[in-house]
Amino acid sequence: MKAIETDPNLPDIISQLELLIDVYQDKLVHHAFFRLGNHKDAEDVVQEVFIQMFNEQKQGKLILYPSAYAFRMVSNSCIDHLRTKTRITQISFDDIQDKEIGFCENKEEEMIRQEEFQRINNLLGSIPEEQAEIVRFRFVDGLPFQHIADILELPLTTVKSRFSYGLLKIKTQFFNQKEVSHAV
Amino acid sequence: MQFENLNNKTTVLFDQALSPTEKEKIINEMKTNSPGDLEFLNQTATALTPSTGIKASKALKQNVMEKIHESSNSTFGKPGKTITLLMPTWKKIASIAAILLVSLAIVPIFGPQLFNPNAKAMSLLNTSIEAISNLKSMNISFQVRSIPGDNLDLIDTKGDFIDYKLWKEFAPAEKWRIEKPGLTVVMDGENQYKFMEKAGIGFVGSTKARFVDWMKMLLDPQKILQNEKTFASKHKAEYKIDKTNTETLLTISAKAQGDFKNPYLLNSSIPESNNRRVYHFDKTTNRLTALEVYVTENKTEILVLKLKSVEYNEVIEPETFKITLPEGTKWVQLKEIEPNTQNATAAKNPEEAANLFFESLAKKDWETVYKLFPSIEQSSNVENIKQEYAGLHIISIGKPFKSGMYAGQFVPYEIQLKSGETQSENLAVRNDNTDKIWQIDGGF
Repeated sequence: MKAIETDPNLPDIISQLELLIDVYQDKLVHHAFFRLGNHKDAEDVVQEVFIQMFNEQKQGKLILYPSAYAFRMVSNSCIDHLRTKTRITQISFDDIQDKEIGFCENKEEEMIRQEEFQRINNLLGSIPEEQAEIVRFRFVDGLPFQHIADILELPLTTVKSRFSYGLLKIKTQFFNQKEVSHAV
Repeated sequence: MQFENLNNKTTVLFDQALSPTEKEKIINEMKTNSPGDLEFLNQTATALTPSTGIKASKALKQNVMEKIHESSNSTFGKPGKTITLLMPTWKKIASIAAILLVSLAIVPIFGPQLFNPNAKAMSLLNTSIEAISNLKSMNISFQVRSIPGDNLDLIDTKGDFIDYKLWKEFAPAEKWRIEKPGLTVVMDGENQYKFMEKAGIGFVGSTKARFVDWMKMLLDPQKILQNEKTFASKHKAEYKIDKTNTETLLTISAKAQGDFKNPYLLNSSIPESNNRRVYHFDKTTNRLTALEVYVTENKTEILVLKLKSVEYNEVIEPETFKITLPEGTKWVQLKEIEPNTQNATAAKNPEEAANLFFESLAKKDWETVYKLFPSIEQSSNVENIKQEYAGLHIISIGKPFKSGMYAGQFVPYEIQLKSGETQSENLAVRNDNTDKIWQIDGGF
């Protein structure tokens, strides 16, 4: 009783979080999946981010753009997750693809997702991370440049130029290589 | 393959802000001129776009909500009591959430502010980002207590209101113009231009040149809330959001920024004053409709900036983003007058720079004068300046001081011109350049 009196915003915070989950959970899990290649890990990351946001908000932190903030946190958590996993178990990207994808309705769908995950990360793995994350947000998540700028807290011009350079690198590193191998 | 071409096209083709017609035009051009690039972009986009979206399991939300309740209960008291209190609100919220979800469906991602006690008011402002991002142009008339011909950001609490005008084109390339009597700054998408009528000089800088400081806030109305929020958290300013039947109001109350042991620059610009900024957003369209800025001086609030009108999507003539200089005035690239070892003098501190400057004027040593204050040489008024200041007498050079946010220092001086007229001011001197060369920046 006393506790609620000291934090009258708690019901609002909870209801806003619930709404945030309803609207963004799929988009965030989608993003996390294509970072981690594993549905269960993706859900764990997103779940932790929602809980963390709730705790921060409860402590009075002002989160101006919650959806951008959530994307940023999910993205960072995925990076941490991959680093930790690699450090602890020495699992490489190639190993991850063999792991259970989970939550797929059937085996065929599971295989398609896995192929897509592998293809996307092979392409993006060939370019600097700061460019890859922008290309990823634009294509994999379908976000407009302005929203990517909000997530990464970067000027719009920087986002656009990194995007362009990222694509150029893909072209020079991957497509030119393909042309060479075809020629051979 | 020309990388430069591909560079521009890649961004433009995948920019959702670009209209379908404009995109089609570029695609057609690429089909003719660089089909290889187009094919590469198509292939890459296809390869990087997943065929289906990954969905969250039903358990995700349930798990989060359970953990939150556990955390709330353990933090705030006995579980039974907390849940009893929350349940009625949750039921009520469920119906509100359903309504909100309908509106969210039409507001693109990042529209609503869902996670703050001020969420309802905030969400209105945030949706304005989307509303404004679809705008083609904006035209603002406003008035500022300022001095004609001086910097755009300068305010003069004792001065009269003078008219300012601002034009902005949002797309495809950002272009804008801000003018007040005697001073115009234009950004044409490639460069910034600043024409100072009285000084008889026009400067050309990059798109990032800082010809405008705080007033840039008005150029990005879609970012006002974000920028002001960032400002508020950085500088411990207060901000609040109020709603009336027709408007949403954002009020920022900020303390003067900078060093005011010497108050010379106090109240000389909005950031360098104790001020209150009140932004008005239309409740229906979420667009900026009005702004008032008040400066507190001697415990009294003085209105220093007020918007007269804001028009959206009016056609702006291309000529607006050009400045035609009067005959005899020329454009000077900022890099031409940047300090470098070639124009260094013996001055080792602000006082020496001020002394050397006035002595050189007195002795008609124009070479040194130009080294210390290169824009004088470029001014169409150079001969008048020479005529007026040659042979001056230095009455006093004071102790340099810092004030406000200015990166350099001010040197008080008093001089007597050969006409007999005396002038006393503060010479602005700075050395915040790579080679730490002292140069004159103004106050003359």
